[in-house]
Formats: sequence, C-alpha cells, structure tokens
Amino acid sequence: MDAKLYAARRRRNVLAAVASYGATSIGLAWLALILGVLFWQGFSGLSLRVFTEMTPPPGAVGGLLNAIVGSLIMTGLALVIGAPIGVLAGTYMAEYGRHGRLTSLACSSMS
Amino acid sequence: MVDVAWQETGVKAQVVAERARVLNRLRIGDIAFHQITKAAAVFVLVVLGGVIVSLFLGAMPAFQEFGFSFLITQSWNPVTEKFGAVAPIYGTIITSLIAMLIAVPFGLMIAMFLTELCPMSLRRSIGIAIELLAGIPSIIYGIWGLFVFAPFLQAHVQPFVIAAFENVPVLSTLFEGPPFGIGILTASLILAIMVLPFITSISRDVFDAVPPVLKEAAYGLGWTQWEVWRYVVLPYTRIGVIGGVMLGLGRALGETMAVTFVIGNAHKISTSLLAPGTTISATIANEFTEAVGDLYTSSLIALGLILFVITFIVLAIARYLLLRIERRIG
Repeated sequence: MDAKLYAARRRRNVLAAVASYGATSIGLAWLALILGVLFWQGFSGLSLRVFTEMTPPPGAVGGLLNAIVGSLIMTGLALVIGAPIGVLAGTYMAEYGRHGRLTSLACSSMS
Repeated sequence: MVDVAWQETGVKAQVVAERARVLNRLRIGDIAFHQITKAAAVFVLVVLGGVIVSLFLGAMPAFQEFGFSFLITQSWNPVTEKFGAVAPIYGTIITSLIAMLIAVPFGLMIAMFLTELCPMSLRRSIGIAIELLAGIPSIIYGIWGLFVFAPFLQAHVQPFVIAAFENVPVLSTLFEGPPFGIGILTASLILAIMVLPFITSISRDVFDAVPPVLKEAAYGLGWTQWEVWRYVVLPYTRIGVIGGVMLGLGRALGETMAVTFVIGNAHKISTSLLAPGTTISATIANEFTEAVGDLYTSSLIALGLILFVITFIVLAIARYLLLRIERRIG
C-alpha cells in the first residue's frame, strides 16, 4: 500500500518535471524559430543602401532611411515628453499622496 | 556667566535674517516642487479622462443609430451602413481565452523549471531568453505568423487535425472546414506566445520570493518537488501569479498588429476555430483608414469604447479576486 502510494507520488513528480522541461524547451524553440527566420531572411536583405537611401517609388531601388530616422525622432520626442511627466507624477504619488485618493485613482486607472 | 556671543545683538539679528531668507527660499522651492509634481499627477488623469470622453463622444452617433442592438447584431455592412459588434467582441474574447488556456500552464511550468529544476548556471540565460520573447515587437510576430507560421499550419497541421477529429462529436465542429492557415486558432497561438513571457517572468519572480525555510520544511517531511511546488510555492504566491496572468490577459485583449495579420478579418462568428474571424482591435486597425461616412467611423470608435470597457471589467474582476484572497489570508 505504502509502496504503491510512494510510486504514484514519484510518478507524478517525474511527470511534472517532464512537463516543465517540455514547456521550457517549447518556449525556447519558439524563440529560436522566430529569431532564426528573422535573422536568416533579414540579413540577406540588409545592405548599406538600406541605411543611406530613402524609400523608393515603386520600381526603383532605395533604402529605409526615412523610416529609421522617423522611428528615432518619434521615440526621442515621446521620451522627452513622457519621461518628465511620468517621473514627476510618480514622485508626487510616492512623496505627497501615498494614501491619497488621487494616487489610488491614478494607479488603478493606469494598469 | 552669559555667553559673549548672545550679547552681540547686531550679529545675531543678521544671522536670524539670513536663516529666515534661506528657509523661505527652501519653502518656496518645496511648494513649487509639490505643485509641479501634483500637476503632473493630475495631468495623467486628465489625459485618461480625455481619452474616455472623446471615445464617448465619437461613439455617440453609432449608439444613437443602433442603440442596444449594436451589441447583439452580427452583421457588419459598410455599404448599407448596418453595423453590429458581436463578431469582433466574440473574436476578442475567444482568442484571449484560448491564448490564456495555452499560456498559463506553459508559463507556470517554465517558471517552475526556472526556480526549482534548472541548474543554477543556466537560470539566468534561459530566463533572459524567455523574456526576449516579450522584447520582440508585435509587428514581427505578425509577419512571422503570416509568412511562416500560418502556411506551416495550413500545410502540415490543420489537415491532420481536421481529419483526426472528423468523427468526434464536439471536436469535429471546433475543427471543421478547409485549412485556411489564418484564423482564430492561429491568432490565439500567436497571442499565447506573446503573453507567455509576462506570465513566466512575473511567476518566476514571485516563486523566487518564497522563503526557503517553507520549502525546506516541506522537503524535510519527504515531499516531492512537485508537491512542494503545488502545495507550498503556488498557494504562497497565488496573488502574484494572478497578477501576472491578468497582465498577460490585458495584453492579449488589446493586442492589435500581430492579430490583425493572422486572424483573417471576417466579420462573422464561426463555430470552427480554424475559420477566419476578427477582433475589436484588428477591425479598428484594418478599417479606420478606409472608413468613409460618419456612422462607419463612429461604429469603429464605439468598438474601441467596448474594448475599453471589456479591459476595465477584466481588471476589476482581477482586483476583486486579489482582494478576496487577501482577506481570506489576512
């Protein structure tokens, strides 16, 4: 009886370990699949032209310079606007309104 | 004997005045800082309020035109301007649900691996690798899903699934029809991969925070690793785990680009999970640029408002669950 129970517990433990190893390897494999396709097919499309020329009209050759610069400008602007407001609002909540109504309202609305 | 310095009243007055000036300057600075930070905090709320108000105002024409039937009609016809939100709502909820059904067990299992089973030397690198999944932009999940994953499913998985469940009562309806590749199930799978790192990393962090003495006590009684994890670690950390799951669910509900690529954008409800469908965010992303006419635009904004309400309800339920658990423990 005890031996049976012991074996069942051992079996369940092994099953859990296998599931755990399996889940992790599937997760890692998925990452490898996505990154693999991305790098494999992405690198072949990369050249100096991508970084130095504008997006071409249909049929012509060109690069992605305007898209890259646009992303950088947009991210920079968003950071410049958002970071100070965020830090200041966070400072207020931590320093002055730790238990205030404004703080709890803001916290619950942001999540 | 009286201190000599006290008698030099001229110097004393000067010191006092100086100190008052400094104090005053500090106080003004303090008040200004208080007000500036307060303004920033209020601004955050005002922005949120502005979003809600503009959603309401924009959705008004659609709700006035269709009334409650907007929420219960399935037809979405831009030509006759008849709009109903059931198909996108259904798609949003069902894709998120399936994604969570897949991602929660996987995420918990990976977190358990990382905290209990994994060799110490590999923990950091595998943890970072899983978190890297969260760093991949959603547009990349979208193109990967459309160009790699969907064709693979279409050619190698869906035909066999359809054939395998052909004669099984319930599953045959869930997995029937031609293998499109894109569809509800594909979108759910992509969503599952996207929310997996959130659930995993939060679960891992809370699992790591379990006091070792609790686990050691259980091991000392002869428990197996699974039993320790299931009956000590998981109950101890369930608040954090639920928080992680809700974070993932919030992302799944609102995810736009990756889902838009692979869901098929069909405004209908199908019993089959392999059939194309649509979600709220996918509909908005697809159709906003080509929405001609006020009613069309307004219907899309109304969809956005519904998504907002759904997300809010989910978060409220999560908060209520956490509160109940906390009360039971405390």
